[in-house]
Amino acid sequence: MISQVCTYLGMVLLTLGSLLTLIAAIGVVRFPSLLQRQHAATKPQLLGFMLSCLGVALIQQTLAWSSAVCLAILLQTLTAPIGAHLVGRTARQSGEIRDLTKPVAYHYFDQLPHPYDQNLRIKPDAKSYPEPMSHAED
Amino acid sequence: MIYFYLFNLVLLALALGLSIYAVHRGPGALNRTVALDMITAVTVGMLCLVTVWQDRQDTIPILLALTLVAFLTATSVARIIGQRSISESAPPASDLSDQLDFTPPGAKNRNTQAKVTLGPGANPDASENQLTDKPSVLASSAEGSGND
Repeated sequence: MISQVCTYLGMVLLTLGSLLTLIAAIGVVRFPSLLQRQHAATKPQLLGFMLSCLGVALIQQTLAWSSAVCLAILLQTLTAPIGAHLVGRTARQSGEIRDLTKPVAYHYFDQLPHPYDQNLRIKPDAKSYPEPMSHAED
Repeated sequence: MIYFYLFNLVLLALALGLSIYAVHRGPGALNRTVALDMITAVTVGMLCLVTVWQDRQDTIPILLALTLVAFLTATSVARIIGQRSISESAPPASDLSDQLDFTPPGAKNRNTQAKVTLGPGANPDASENQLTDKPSVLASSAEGSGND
């Protein structure tokens, strides 16, 4: 009884992990800038990994798989942010992220209303609004 | 049960195809690195699916090794791109020239001394002297040989 419940729960978790991976892949393809792609791509590295591994541990129901899954989740939690952090820092240093104060909407649309709008409470700097990035890169 | 496996397999295959397309398209090495991380995540999902499907026990070391190695690609690519961008991209000379100037203080003095010693050589007068000196020397040697 309990083992069957655990099996079905594991199947649900495994399917959720695969679904999250697919959604993240769609996000990596559709997002226009590097930080957004990274935001989409780092989710299945930890959350999808945890879901898939917990699903395997619940389906297998052996001590070896349970301990291995605990160790793998611990190691992934330690090592996954390192790569993401270094990629983001390198993008910042190499000038790929040109302006950190640029609104996110500038990544999506080619034309926006002028920043010096009367309704804006915060008057932005003129330097912080470069030309909007065209997301049709190829 | 087989439909569950096939459903998961289709999901992961779609994710793999999209990731490969992102690697093919992504402008620049950093975007491709992000897409390669996605491929690693898809690989972990495939490994879990195969483990459940065929009831295997020998995929534990593969999972642990993949966990330990997965972050190395992003790290190495980021380090290489960072060094190259620092050396290639022109820093604003007024801001970063003092920080990025790695020449020791002795080398600067040597450069200035070399410029000072090379200075007269670049003078038009000196070059004229050299040009006028050489034919005279040649002429004297030719005269000497002719006398002999």
